[in-house]
Amino acid sequence: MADLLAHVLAGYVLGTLLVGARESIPSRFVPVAMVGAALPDLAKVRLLVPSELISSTLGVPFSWLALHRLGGAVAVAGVGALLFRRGERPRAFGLLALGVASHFLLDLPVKRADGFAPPYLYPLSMARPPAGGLYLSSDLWPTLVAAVAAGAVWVGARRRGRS
Amino acid sequence: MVGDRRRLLLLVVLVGGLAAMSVHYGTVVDDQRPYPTQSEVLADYEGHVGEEVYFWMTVESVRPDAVVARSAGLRLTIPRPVPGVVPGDVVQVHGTLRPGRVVDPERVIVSPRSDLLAMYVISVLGAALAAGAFLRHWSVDPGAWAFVPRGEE
Repeated sequence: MADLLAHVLAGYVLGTLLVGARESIPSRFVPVAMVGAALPDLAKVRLLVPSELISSTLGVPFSWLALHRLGGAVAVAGVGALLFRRGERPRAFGLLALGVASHFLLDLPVKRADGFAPPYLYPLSMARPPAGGLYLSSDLWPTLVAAVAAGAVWVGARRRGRS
Repeated sequence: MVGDRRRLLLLVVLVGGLAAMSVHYGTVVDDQRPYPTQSEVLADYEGHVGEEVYFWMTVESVRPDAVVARSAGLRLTIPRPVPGVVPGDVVQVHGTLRPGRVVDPERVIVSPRSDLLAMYVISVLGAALAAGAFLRHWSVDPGAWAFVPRGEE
């Protein structure tokens, strides 16, 4: 992962661009993309409740990391969309999914010592895609780039709103 | 209401799917991983000597010619100078397991402890930003169990 702020800012950028391009999507859906971009990191709950603890309690193998894979993240987005009113669920799901997609795209370039990213496409595939090797999750510069992009998009959206 | 029943059914299916995937992923992930796990290496070190390994470990001590790092109960020596590394840093090490609790590294990547602490703080800010932006535009309608646009509740 890049840090969560970078993900949320990327969600803001994509959500704002989409809302700008589609009049059928009101601006209140921009933060839905921001939340979507954070969803795969729900797997970080393992820092509080380790997978091993659940596994030993229930007596079955268990891994929170399923939430940080395509299948788990899409299911979480589905649950999220169901928390909206009926007419808004398709758009809510779309924006949550956009955020989720951006999350994986930002996590692919993270440096891995063996050169391979985790099997993000689970359960479709257990293949491990090549890691981009661009940055560490703890590097600050991707967050700065995301902040600059978010700032530019914010200014653009405000100008558009006035014109 | 039919709509409510359908919504509940979908929720049950999705949450059930999440539970099933979490168990299934927990079942297959170690087998699919091309490396032995820490607990496997701990249980039978000699049996894994010569194998390719990949661990995330915390640096315990640093010598001019080597770094000692541990993860859970597994302590390994990386017999190579790693520039700039200090105790508390996290290293990703990919290499070959050698006799005597040594990993012959092909590649070592250092995440400085200070950067990791900053990452946690920044990530909390990110969560707060997403939650704050969301709640500015949406509020909860407790009767409908749904988020509704602010001002329309």
